[in-house]
Amino acid sequence: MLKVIKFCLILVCLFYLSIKSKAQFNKNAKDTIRTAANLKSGNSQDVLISFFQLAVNDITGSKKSFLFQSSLFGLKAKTNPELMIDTSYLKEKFARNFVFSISPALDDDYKFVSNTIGVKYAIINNRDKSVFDFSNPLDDGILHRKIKQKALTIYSRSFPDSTDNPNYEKAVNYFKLKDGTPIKDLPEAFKKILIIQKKGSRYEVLNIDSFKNFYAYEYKRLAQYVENRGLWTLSSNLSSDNKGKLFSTININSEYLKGMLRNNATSNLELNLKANFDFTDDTSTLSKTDMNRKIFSFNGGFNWIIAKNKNGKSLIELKGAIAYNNILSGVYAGEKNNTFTAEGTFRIRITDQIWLPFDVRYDPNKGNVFGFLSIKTNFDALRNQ
Amino acid sequence: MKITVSVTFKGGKGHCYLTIVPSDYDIIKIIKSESYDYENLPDKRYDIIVDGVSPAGGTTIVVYIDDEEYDTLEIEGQGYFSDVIKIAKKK
Repeated sequence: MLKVIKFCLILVCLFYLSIKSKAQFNKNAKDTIRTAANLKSGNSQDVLISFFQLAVNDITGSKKSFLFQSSLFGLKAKTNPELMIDTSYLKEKFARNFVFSISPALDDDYKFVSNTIGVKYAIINNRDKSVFDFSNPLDDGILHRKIKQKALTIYSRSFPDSTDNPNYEKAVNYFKLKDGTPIKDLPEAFKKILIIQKKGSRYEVLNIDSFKNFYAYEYKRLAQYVENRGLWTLSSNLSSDNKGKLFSTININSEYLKGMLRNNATSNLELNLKANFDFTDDTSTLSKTDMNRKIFSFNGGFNWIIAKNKNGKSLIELKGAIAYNNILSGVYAGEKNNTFTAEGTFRIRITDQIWLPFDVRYDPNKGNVFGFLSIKTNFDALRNQ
Repeated sequence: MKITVSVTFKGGKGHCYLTIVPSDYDIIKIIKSESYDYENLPDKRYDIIVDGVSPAGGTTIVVYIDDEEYDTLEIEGQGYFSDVIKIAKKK
């Protein structure tokens, strides 16, 4: 019962933080807002966060850990908002791809058990929409705009009151993405002029609405392409325990993520591969911290983005993976040095920033199933800029 | 009259096309935060169609007429945008 109350309190706190941040954000919001960070899958935010992440892992378990992660850029941008301007932002490649983390673990009585500090760097980060050039180099886009300009100019000159004419207003407002003139209200005379202007061009085959939305579609197509590109990170974590040792585990980790489904706006499949080396203290020996226990593990699987909303935001995800563990040295008595386990994570998005992941692990040798619930919130530094 | 359009992209790379109507003026492609001056325009009403891709931190477009601030358009968040800024000599 106490565990449930604690869980509810944590949930309420994180929910409050999320709402507070969102309220700040909505002050100036005019249109549908699609930030790069909240369009990422929950799984990819775990591989490389955009700005900040706060998480409580294994909330109902006997050993729970808290995790705070921040990109170096997220921190720098908080102290110097000028870094958000594109000309500065693009120069901050290292800071954008560098993440540090701290993760204290507590027992059921909230007593300190261990602390882990880590650093991570994205060696390959091709999924980052914020640095992708969406102005297609194969199409300078000038012709499309020139056709619009010419059609509107000819149309305005057909009225004595030129641009003050209400029909001209309808025509020019048609090109607004939000609250534009609906196609049914677009004056027929303007439609005819536009059709004549695009005749003989590559846009001739497009109807008027498709012509208007050509670059909006192009953006969606390119955004999906970027989302499927590869991300490769290297990280290292140092853990200390409560027995006075400086480090009880040193971990080196490499992770790769890549989207698999093309042109699918409603779901996706991400290949997720992880390799891990742990150097831990061999507690069976009486010597001081020796780091003689060496474990290699590999984890390979897929994260299925089951549902996205109409803006492309991932809502529900299911990850399945096979994990292989090999204890290279320091095997304890009665312990197997090779094990396979099956792992799964079901994630559901509660708000823009809060995810609830539920992890399940299955040990086929022992027939044991473990499950634990976590809560993660991804803060977006951009929202207060 | 001089119309200055100042574009600022935040939180990443963006781009924007400026189409001024009615006119035969060149289409202007902006690929980083900068200003563009339409110089010696006849003194009348114009519309500037702005379209492009905003980065995650948003895009701010400020219009000046003869160096006086006239109007501001804020585009929030990442994605394609297309909007119209209406310009008269006197607001």
